[in-house]
Amino acid sequence: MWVVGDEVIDREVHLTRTDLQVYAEASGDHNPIHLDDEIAAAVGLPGVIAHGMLTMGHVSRVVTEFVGSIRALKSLSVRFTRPVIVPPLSTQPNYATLHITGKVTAVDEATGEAIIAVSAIFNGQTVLARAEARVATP
Amino acid sequence: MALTSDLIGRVFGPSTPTILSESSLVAFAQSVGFTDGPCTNSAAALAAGFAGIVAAPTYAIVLTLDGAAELSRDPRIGLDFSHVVHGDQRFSYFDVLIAGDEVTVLTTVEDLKTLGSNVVVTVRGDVSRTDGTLVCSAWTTLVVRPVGGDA
Repeated sequence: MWVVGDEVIDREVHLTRTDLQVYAEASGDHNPIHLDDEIAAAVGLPGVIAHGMLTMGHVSRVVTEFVGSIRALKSLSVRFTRPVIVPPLSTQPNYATLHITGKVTAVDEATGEAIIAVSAIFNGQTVLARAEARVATP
Repeated sequence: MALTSDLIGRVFGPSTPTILSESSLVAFAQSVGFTDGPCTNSAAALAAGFAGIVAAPTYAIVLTLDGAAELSRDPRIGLDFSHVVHGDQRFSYFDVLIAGDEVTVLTTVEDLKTLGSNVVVTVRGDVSRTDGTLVCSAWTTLVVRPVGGDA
């Protein structure tokens, strides 16, 4: 049984410009701030940024992998607070690193559900707030 | 009409039914890092008791964002997506989406408020199978900056 305070997820995700192109194609979100340096700069961004939903997609995946079944994920919520800047493929390193961790913050034995609070850190700063998953416990 | 609180409660849809293709579900799942299992491999999906490839949890956004885009297609509302930032996102799951499912989305404007010069609008997209089963609800909060203002 899970215990409140258990740190249950600790994963690193690398995002490259190629990953953003692949996500744009797969999701249909072709907003150029995720693909084009000049347009990103024109709207005041320091560079091309990852789709918030790409970050959330990875969060959903690492939570799903932890709980072991996609049916166990009951809800997932995030607030996007900071952009994830993804460097050009020509630089080293050519990826942005997201550090995703998760901690059990509530366990309801009556319903068999738990809350996992999720943190996503890029460049030493959190990029999500109020991120949490409600999951069925095994 | 513009982006005013009159819009709260307004419903768009249901959308035209669409059939979820295996290839679109797999491409999406791979794009968020699923490498094996029921979201990318039909044999694994069948072994896990699903009727086919399972949509990744956030796939629903592909279906529901189009409903939110209805706000930009209505010239009386005039939501300009080039001035929109995705603020919050939440999903509640009642079932999973499976390749071959025929689904529609009903979009409801749940909340709209003005914060300074920005408008913050929350829309809920309910994804249902065409047999009426509600599979997932997605709440998307968009922060709309004034056109002509700073980026």
